[in-house]
Amino acid sequence: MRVVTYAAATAGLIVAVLASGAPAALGDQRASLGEQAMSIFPNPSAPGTSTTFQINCASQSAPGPATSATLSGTELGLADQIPMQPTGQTDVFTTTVVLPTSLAPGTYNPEADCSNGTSASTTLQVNAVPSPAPPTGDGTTSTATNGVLTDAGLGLVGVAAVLGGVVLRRRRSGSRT
Amino acid sequence: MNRLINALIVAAMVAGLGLAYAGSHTLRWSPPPAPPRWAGLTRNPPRPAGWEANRPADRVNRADAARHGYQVTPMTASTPVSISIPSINIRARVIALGVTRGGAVEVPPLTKPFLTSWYDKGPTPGAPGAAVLFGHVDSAAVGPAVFYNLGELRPGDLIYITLRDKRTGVFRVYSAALYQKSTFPAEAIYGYTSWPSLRLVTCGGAFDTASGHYLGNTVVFAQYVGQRAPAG
Repeated sequence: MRVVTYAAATAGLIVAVLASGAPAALGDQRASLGEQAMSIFPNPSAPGTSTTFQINCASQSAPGPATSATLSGTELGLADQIPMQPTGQTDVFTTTVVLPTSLAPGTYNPEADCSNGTSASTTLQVNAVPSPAPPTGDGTTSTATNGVLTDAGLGLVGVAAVLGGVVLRRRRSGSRT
Repeated sequence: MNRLINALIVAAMVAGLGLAYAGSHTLRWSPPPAPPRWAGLTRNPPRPAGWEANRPADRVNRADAARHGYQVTPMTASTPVSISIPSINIRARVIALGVTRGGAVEVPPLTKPFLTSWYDKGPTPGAPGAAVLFGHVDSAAVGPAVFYNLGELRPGDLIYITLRDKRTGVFRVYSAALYQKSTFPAEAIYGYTSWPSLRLVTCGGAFDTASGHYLGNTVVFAQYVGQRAPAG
């Protein structure tokens, strides 16, 4: 009986975890790290893409919960101190910024600082957005002329010419005799 | 009698010349169909409705998915292997391609005109974000190629993409537009969307014989409806 209860409880837990859904990346990372940590979504991101940064300021060594947090955006070509908004969850702050379109693709290590003295940083991968539009066609349907029709026409001319030649020959030989 | 034969031969020659002339002055196929609006004419191409804030469409999708018994959760990342668009009779294989050294997205060779490619630096179809697929509009070898009729897709049409894990993602078209290559809306196409979305891209607009390229791109925007398990 007890085993059944445990099994049911475990199953329930698994279902709950599975059901947590799409932005699971954020939630999982936060849950697994009780200490100060930063998460970024989406990661990898791209220039011109709105990207969410979230920091958890909780720390054993900190004197207490943080009241504010800022993201240093210089490295990403943004403002130096970007204030982060409280999330309703103690010590967790978030902000969403649009990465500059001029940002070079590569790896970045943005950092955020909390008012309680803790700070966290994580790796952000920025992928290039392919710029030139791809060539997807060689113009055949817009330029190719109706070869079948042309061939048929030329064929008809040829047949008529041959017939004409035959007829002329017959008439000439006919007139001699 | 002789006169009649003469007349017939002359008539055949004139008709033949006429046919040859007509043939060399008409197109064997017609230029690819274009979506109803030529968005490239505006300086800033309009962002298709719902490309980012897709909450209302999301609700519609859920109702839709429930009706068909689709599972609405985003799909687990898995490489796409085939695409099917029943409304314009497309069934094609999908291969994964990245970018060229010049930074342009790679597309299948023109010698494989019925192959489509998935931009493998972006999300897989059905995962959060915008999955992008490319296909040729035409090719000398065959004339109309795999995405020739892409411009005929209209909002509401369904696109099915099967992944390597054998699950099929269902997507609903919500916008289709023709963009000039010079104002190709890369951000609207590749940019992150919280709800899974799909973009199909091919060439379109006028063909520039001087450069050997089409001047525009036909882009179809679609949103994730749900997924269905492998049949059988």
